Amino acid sequence: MIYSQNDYKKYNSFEADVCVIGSGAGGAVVAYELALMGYSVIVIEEGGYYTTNDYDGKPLKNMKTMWRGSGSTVSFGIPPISIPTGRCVGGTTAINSATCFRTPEHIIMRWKENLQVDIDYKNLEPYFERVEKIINVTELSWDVLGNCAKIIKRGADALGLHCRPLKHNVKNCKGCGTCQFGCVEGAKQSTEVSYIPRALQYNTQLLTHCKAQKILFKNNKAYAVQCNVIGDKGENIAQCLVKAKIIVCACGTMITPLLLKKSGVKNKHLAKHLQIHPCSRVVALMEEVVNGWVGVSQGAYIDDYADEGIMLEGIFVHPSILTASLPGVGNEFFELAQQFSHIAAFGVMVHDTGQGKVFGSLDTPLSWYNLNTQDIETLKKGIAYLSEVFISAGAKKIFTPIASFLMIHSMDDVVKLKMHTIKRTHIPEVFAFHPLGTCRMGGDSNWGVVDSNGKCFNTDNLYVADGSIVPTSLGVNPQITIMALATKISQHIADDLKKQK
Amino acid sequence: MYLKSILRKSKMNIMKIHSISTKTLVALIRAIIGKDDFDDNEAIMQIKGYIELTPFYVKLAIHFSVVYFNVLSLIKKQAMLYSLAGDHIVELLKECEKSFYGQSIIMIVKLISTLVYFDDDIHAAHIGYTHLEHCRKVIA
Repeated sequence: MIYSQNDYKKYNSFEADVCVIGSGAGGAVVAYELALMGYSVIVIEEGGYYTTNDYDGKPLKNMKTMWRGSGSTVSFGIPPISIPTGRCVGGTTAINSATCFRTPEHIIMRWKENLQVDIDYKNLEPYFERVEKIINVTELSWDVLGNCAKIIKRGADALGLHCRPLKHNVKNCKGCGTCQFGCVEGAKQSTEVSYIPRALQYNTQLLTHCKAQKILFKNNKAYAVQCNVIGDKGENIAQCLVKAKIIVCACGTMITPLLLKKSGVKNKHLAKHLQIHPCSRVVALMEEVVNGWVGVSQGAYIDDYADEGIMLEGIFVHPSILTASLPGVGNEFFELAQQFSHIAAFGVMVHDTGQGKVFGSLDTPLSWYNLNTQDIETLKKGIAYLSEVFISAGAKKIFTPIASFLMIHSMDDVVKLKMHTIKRTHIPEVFAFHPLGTCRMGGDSNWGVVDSNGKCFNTDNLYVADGSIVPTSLGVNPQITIMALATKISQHIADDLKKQK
Repeated sequence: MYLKSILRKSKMNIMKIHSISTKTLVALIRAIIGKDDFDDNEAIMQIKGYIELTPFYVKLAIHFSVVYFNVLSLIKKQAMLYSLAGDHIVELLKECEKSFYGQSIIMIVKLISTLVYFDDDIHAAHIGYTHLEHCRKVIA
């Protein structure tokens, strides 16, 4: 059963074995796994349920409906960093680029060594396999990956680097490239397409437009979630109370810590240790016709610089967003925009060492994240490496996001860029798509907010299953990590429920 | 023609269209994109619809940008920004781009400008793009 705005009464009461708050990479997985085991599940989702019929391939409309704050959520700090997240059934999986990586083994080892997290790669392997099967993780052909990926491959080959196709969770993807604004082909196996419909086949109720306000406790036991039903203009139109034996918080890295705080959960690590994978882009003007919008927007990657904390990944987004990256204003800008079919773009992602925090209210989550000197240097290096690849691929001109080094024409310029010292105020165009760590896992409450099974310390039946439990940034896209951890957490919840019986 | 277009709009809309903020934003979009082939009212409605859903700090940032550009314009050109000719606005923006904060502000306004302007199929065609046309081809 799916509840939309018109299906609610003024006051509503629900009851189930498990209440899952959030329907993204973590929540949808927990909901399906537990429903499959025969438990009754209620999924609370703040946003609406959108399908291919709602997508028009235009960012403006879909950003308003599917992205939190119309896609304008920004972390405070220097520079301000745009951190877009999803607010719809499917969460951020509905607006991501469908890129899939398993958690790097050395990262899991580091969690174990530094935070006493009781997980190893072998433990997680069956969960990775299960998730990859359900969301159909697959390698696409170079033709579907698009010309940007081919250009980067050409440049990488010339430099002796390794450019590989990224794996995606898609079925019959033809490469429309609208991944971030709702997959018009219905190919992306985001959770509103994969896990949620599966969960709904069992004893699951999905409450859309329903925003959790507070988790209610009796002593250390969570027993219900208070929610408001949200109207089209953000107004409260009804109220809900969802009672459950187990409550799973999966509202994402920015919201989960705020909900826990508001509900009275206390832990010194709560809402801290925010890591985000700061990213930027390099845009190149090519001699050849690129038509970069044809093909998946994140097609290929180069990980030769992973040891330096740099991952180069595709990032060709819709022209109405990417054109904003072109330099200049007025005629100068428009003349360049008219050559858009010759524009190629690729991204740089930094495995960050800095940390930030989340604060504010559930209605207006805020974050503070200052790019540290080391990460800004890493970002600059990544931009320089990517420029090298573009030059090797035959780019005529390269536009960097570095204010003091806006254009690159040759390898000599790249060398100059490498020598160039930059400050955080020199890169105003930084994005981050992978907020993690604000309710991190740890061996005990001195190390983290939840244990290795996602259970919140000092509570009897409250779990967290989203990006916030991932203790550190990964250096790769995190959706498979979150989904695998959520699958593992579901097993533990099932054990907990059995004990309660 | 002008009166006719005003009569078509509600009273409230006219007031908004003639507010300093909206006039400045439209002047900025024109200057940034370098084109004036769009309907002011439609652009304003699109921008309003977008800004309404953004967090308070983004609304503040946009409001601050409008004030910033007008103050800068008063200092440098002795006139409000929206009353300047297009090339003078471009001149002003280019000067702003030299500072980090100026560049950041321009980036916000530029993103809103391209988001709204290229949302229209006719405008997107200027850069060789038609929404979903390539999808229809690849799916076929």
